[in-house]
Amino acid sequence: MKRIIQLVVMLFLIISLTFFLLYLTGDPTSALIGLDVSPEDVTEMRRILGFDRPLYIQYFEFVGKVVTEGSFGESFRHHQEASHLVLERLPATLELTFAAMFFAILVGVPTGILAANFRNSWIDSGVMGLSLLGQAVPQFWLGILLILLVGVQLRWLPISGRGDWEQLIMPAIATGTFSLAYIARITRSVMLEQLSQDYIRTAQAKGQTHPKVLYFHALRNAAIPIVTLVGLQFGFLLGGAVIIEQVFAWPGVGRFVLQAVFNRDFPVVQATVFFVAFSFGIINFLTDMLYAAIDPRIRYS
Amino acid sequence: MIKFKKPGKLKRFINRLSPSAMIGIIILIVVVVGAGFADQLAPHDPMKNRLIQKLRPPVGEKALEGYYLGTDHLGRDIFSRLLVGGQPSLYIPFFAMLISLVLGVTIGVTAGLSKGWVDDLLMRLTDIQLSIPLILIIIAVIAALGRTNIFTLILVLGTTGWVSYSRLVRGEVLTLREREFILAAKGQGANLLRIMVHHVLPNIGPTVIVISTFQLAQLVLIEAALSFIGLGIPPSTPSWGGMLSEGRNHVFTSWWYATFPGIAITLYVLGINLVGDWLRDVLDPRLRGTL
Repeated sequence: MKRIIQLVVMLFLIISLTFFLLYLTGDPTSALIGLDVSPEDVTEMRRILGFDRPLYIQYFEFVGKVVTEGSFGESFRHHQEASHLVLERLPATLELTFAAMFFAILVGVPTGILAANFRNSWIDSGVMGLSLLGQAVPQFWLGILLILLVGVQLRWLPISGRGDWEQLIMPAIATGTFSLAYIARITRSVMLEQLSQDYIRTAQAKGQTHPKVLYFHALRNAAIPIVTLVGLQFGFLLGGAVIIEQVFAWPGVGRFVLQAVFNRDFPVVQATVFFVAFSFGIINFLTDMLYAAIDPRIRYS
Repeated sequence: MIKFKKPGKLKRFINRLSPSAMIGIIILIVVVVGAGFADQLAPHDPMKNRLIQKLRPPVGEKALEGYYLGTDHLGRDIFSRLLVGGQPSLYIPFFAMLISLVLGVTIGVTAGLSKGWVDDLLMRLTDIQLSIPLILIIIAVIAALGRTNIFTLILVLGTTGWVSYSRLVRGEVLTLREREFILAAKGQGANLLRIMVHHVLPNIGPTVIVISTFQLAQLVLIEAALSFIGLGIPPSTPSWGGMLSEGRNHVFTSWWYATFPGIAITLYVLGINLVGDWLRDVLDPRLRGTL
């Protein structure tokens, strides 16, 4: 319950901050109607849109609408409710983010365990070298390279759009590689730390098989730091997806919000920030729940 | 009597370097010299259009003599543009890193030393910023500003990056404040500012240096991404991210255009990370589990 109140307070602060951030730097009227208009027209437009009133009145009206109707106002450009427009596109972004996350975890964690298990061997150096590279490659460039090699040269996968699961593969790899490398690195170092603990020696002395020691004893204790990390990576992946959407013409909020920034379409920017923060908040909440499931020592009231 | 010659400072420093740190330092030297002396090193004028020789590959029949990495869609030399385009990647992330370092350390130390509502408020602020993906915050701020130039870009990146420091620094300070030497200073009547400057800052220095190298790498990637989506450095100034964004439009016909700026960014970030890894192992190995 405490967590839910925290989330609500946080979201309230976020909409307030974005409001003042956007409107303190000037209202968007002039950007909306172009250059060749008379000053009277600008004043008239400002009055119609309500930007001539004191800022605090605009603020209370804005917050009131968000709380009571879930409305962020009409998009200046599309003349539809901004929250509807954003919510239409949010699933695409979340789909890409989750796909990237699955890819990062499914490959990253086993790779990290492998490297820890064969410490200081060529496998370990190979994994570490690749993960260093994976953390240095810009995501969007990796996307371009994938299009170039897999899409254009080999013609294995479609290069843009959303619909087929095949269209998801390349964007997910481009978005997730950085996190994969990071997860592999941290999994390795956490596992190494666990494998040097006394309880591992006890388990080995009792004659447990090696896989059992590795997966049952060490991995279970390494799980908490790994889960924390994965939860934190989610925000990073969400941000990465916003960029990668540009490369693969993925119809999510990233492409939409960028268009909104160029058009100074404030309601869309505000709605996007709100819903992305909301999704992220829910994920963090679920991560915390997962802690309790993994580690019975942690309990939430 | 046998005389032992004590190796010089520089030599001792080099001896302590790991091979990977050496590679990192060499990469960084190449990038800094290449971008720093771009005007002297560039074989061609990076800004001059020669449409007659547009999109020539670096190798093969159609390659042009003296254009080592080919030409772009306006016939400009890609190698020369890579040298000049490295400059923004060099100073924008660096100055942004300095701003967030000062902000983050100040906030972290203040939160750690003052109990109660100040600490609560500052940590809540940190939480808020961590609850939205960084790139989206930056996009929102740029939306508010309307347009960016190099100066505002440094400011935006600098003022949004402080959370990287505040959490860890606060944690460090919380453990430090119970240590005897801090208590002794307090007992002698030192005020908060004196404790901060003379006792706390020297002790969190290593941690901060380690964080700042990794943040620098992150900022290079963010700056490139912003220039790539058109919110960063204006297209009139050559930059690696901007070159990638132009190169993407010609990816089907000219593979080299988007390839070389990408390699440049990757190597540069790799170099910073290699040095960062080494600094972490030397200065603050406890961070190995998180960074």
